Amino acid sequence: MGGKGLGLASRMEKNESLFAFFLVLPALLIVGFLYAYPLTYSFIISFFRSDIRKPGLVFLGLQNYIEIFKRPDLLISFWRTVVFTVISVGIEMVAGIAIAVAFNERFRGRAIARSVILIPWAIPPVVNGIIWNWLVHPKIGVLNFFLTKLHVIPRYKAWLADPKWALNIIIIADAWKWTPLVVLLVLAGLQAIPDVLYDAAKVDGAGRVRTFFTVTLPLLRWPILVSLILRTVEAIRIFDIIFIMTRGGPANRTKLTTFYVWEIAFKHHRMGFGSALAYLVTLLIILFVVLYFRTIRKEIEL
Amino acid sequence: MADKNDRKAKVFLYVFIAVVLIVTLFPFYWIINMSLQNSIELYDVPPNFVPPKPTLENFRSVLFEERGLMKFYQAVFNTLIVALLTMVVCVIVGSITGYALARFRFKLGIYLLFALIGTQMVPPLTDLIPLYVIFSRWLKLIDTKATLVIGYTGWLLPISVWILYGYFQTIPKDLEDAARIDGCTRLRALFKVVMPLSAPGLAATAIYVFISSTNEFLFAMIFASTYRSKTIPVALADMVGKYQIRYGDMTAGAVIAAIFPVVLALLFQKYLVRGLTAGGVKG
Repeated sequence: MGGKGLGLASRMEKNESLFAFFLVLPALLIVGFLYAYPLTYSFIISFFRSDIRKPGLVFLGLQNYIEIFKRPDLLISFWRTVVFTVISVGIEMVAGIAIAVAFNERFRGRAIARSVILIPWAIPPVVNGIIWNWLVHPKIGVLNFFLTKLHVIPRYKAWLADPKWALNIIIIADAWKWTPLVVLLVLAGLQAIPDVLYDAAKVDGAGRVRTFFTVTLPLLRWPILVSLILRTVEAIRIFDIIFIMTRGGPANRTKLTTFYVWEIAFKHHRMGFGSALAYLVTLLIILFVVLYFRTIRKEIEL
Repeated sequence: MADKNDRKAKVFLYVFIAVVLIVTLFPFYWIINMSLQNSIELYDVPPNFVPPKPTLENFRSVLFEERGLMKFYQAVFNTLIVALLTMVVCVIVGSITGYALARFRFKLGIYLLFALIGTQMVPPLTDLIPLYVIFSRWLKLIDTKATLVIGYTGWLLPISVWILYGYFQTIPKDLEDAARIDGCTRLRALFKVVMPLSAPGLAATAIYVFISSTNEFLFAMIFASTYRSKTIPVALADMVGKYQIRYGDMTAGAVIAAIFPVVLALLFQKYLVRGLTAGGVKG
């Protein structure tokens, strides 16, 4: 029995590609089984009526996709998803870059500051939702306590029940959790910038602000692109904290598209329609990523 | 003049950092503060900024009293098992794949690299719908810890490969070549020479995978339905929006859920930061 194994082993010694193939085989199988096959399957059923309670597929052609564009609630949810993504990622990027720049300076307790900034990032999203539920609680929330003390609001307010505020609160909770990731990536980028460049800028008489925009920011292009993509992809598929904080309410104001996908596929069991909607979310993600790449590439060419 | 400006900048810097740290830490402090108060103190207006009489009663009751046909400690147990197994699989498969991609130029490898990045663009629900059909109808693997491990491996393997791919590129090839001249086989050179040198990268991957799988919610909510496989986030979500909310239980449960990932992140901060930023810095 050793013969064949030995043969393979010695062939692998001689043939680099065979060895490499052997090494990536498990990953290939996993990707095939957990992505290639399922994604093909869900793409196909997005053209069918597939109800898990009623076995059998009925071919619908493009009807699932057409239905999406006929439903105003879904179209609005797409719009809200874009708004949510742009605002929350925008806040995270600006705050993240600002904090990273500050954390790159020398100050007492820097090492500790750089560690504790990781805490929100490590906290489970479900816990993040629960924490912010308490902070904005209508009866015992500490936010209400502070704001009434400071006379910003006259009395305690049910933030998450207010259609104007609910999504904003979710944006704040999301930004609290994810800004640290941007800090992490940008800070690493800052540390890689050689001091010589700053000295040169100083010699040229450039001030702090100008140095930041002309020297630092262009060199941070890559970390910024990476954080933008990571954060946008995650923001578009947000689900957990909405489920915990509002379940899509009040009046569907926080029901973003992924929430609909979950509801349609797993509460109403319409797998085909849910898949069609999920594919449109994928398309939205690809649109964003392509947009980033094109903008940043233009920057590089300049 | 310049001196005065520098002083001003310094003061501004310290104020800014203080604000950042307060905003970062206060919410986390608050949930810990609440978890140590009894159910009457929790309702106090104005709220208590420190627990008047700190008590661990909430932790005892959430862990050991039955809620929704399960006890919370069972969820803790499930979570740890699932996270550990996922971590082991991702580190092993991730490292051999990352190594092959970093060392050898072959067509299949490049396709695989693109496929792995592509998987990260797909919203989880696009994949979850078909996986649910596969697991429930064909494999009859619903409500088991194995389902979660398989699902999380699919989710976290791409990023594991990515982190380790970046890491292996920093290790000079000469070392393995030397070992092979000394008569090591390729596999032996990989495990005896390359892997030990990659310990920091492996640690970063392991911690990242562990934290991510303890924190995951959507997949677990869909695939876990009883005490046999419900993880902490699912058990916690069950407490939210139930008719009789026990506020004390929920706060203590939230603290327990946060403890593992937060402590790990703080302990292994150095590795984690280096591993996560390896691919994010160079371009």
